[in-house]
Formats: sequence, structure tokens, C-alpha cells
Amino acid sequence: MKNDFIKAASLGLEIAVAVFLGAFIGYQIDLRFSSQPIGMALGVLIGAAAGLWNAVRVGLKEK
Amino acid sequence: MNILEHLQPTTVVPLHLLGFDVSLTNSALTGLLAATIVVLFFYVVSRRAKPVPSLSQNAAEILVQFVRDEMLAPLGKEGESWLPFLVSLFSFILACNLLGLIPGLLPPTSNLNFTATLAIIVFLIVQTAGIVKHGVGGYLRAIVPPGLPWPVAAFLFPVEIIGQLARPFSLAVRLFANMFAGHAIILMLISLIFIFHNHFVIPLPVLGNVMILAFEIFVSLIQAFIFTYLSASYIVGALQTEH
Repeated sequence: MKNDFIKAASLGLEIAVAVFLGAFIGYQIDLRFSSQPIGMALGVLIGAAAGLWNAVRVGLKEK
Repeated sequence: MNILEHLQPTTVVPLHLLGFDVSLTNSALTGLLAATIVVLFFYVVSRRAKPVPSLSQNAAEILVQFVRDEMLAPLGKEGESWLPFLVSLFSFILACNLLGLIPGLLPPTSNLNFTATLAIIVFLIVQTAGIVKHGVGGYLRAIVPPGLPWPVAAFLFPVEIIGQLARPFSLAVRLFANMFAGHAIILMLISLIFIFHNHFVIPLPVLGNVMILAFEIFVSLIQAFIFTYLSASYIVGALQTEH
């Protein structure tokens, strides 16, 4: 497809947003259950995994 | 004074409903104007459709053909039903972006609430389309494929949920940031005149603004296209996923 570069260019922001979203959800869990810093650390890890998984999936589809 | 205050919506028609402030802002009015223009354009074009197309009919046909061939091609015949939604989305965002370039009108797309609303609509449509096509069971199997060891499944579930939620966030932030940044640069260039209080500085903001405004027309088109293209690719992904 001619517009593959748009999907690729959008992945950067998607990865960053996933990390921030994971961090935010983890931070909220920490605030609620006083579990600092485990919630945020796990949130960042899961967010990063989600962002990378999205990127890998797009890459595999376009292969 | 913060010059970016000029990019904040201001109330034009104060309105309160059931205790909620639903006042019409200049940004919302630009959105309504854009929607009216798009509806009128397609209504008039479809009413006056001829075998030998006019300029406006040509433009509408090229747009519809472009969305069908470039964005919905993987869905084949099934993609036809998504054409009205995607063409409306593209035309509406483009009209909002372009109207925002007219002095005095604030583009609604430079407001995160507006872009977030559009992104949430796309998100809900994508999820609903996936559930309707594959059923609730098939939808859940796409999140956590059956047969996985439970530790992997327990890790994969939040990963998939955050991955899905990241899409509307990135859609909303991308459109908002690009449109807001363009207008912020224009305002900052103009503010140079007031900061330096010097006539020799004037050519820089004037020439700079002409260039930025020309670039903004391009950005308006590109951002409307990217939003629609990504929405279409999410819809195609939701409908094609093997469950």
C-alpha cells in the first residue's frame, strides 16, 4: 500500500501514548492503594509492552 | 498576559441546561459552520449530479473514490458501507481545519475536547464493529487467544487493553497538537512586534506568517487525511482480525 509510511509515522506517537497511559493508570492505582512505586512501574512496563506490541503487529501485517 | 489565551474558546452564546454549562463557544460555532458547509456541499452536489460532472461533483467523486480505493480496499464490497462515515469524517475535519485559517474563527480541531470527542466516536465505532462482526466470544478471543498459559494471558490482557486505548489518545493528541501548534506559531510571530517595539522587526512576522499560513493549508489537508486513514485502518483491522 502506498500509505504505509503514515501507519509507520503514527507508531511513534502510539508507543509514547501507550507508555504515558500505562504510567497514568499505574499512578492512579498507587494513589488508591498506597502501593508506590509498584503500580506506576508495572504500568510503565505494561504500557511500553502495549505500544511495542501494536508496532510489531502493524509490522507483521505489512510484511 | 499569556498570548496562548487567544487560542482558548470564548463563550458567544451562554447556555445552561440541567445545571450544566453548554454555552456555545466561538470554537463550537466554527464546528457547526463547518458541518453546515459539508452537509450543504454534498447535498447540492448529489442533487445536481450529471453524467458530465461539474467541478464540485468532480471534487466529491475524487474524494469518495480516494477513500474507497486507498483506505477501504482490503474490505472489498464490505467496505462500501463505511464510505459515508469516512468521507464525512474527512470532509468535516478538513472544513474545520480550513475554516480555522480565517481570521476571527477558532478551529475546533485546536481544542483537545473536540478532537478527543472525534477519537472516542471512532474508538466506539471500531469496537462495536468488531463485536458485531465476530461476536463477543470472538472479540474476547482476539484480546487473549485461547490455549495460552495463564501467566501469559494475565499479562497479555492489560497489554491489549492499553494498546487499544492508546489509539484514540494518539488520534486526538496528533490532530490537536498539529492544529494548535500552527496557530500558536502564528500568534508568537505576531507578538514579536509587541515585544520588540521596533519597526525593523515587522517584516519577519509578516513574511513568517504568510509562509506559516501557506504551510497550515497543507497541514490541514494532511491531518484530516491522517485521522481518516488511521480510523479506516482501525476499522479494517477490527473487521479482518482472525478470531
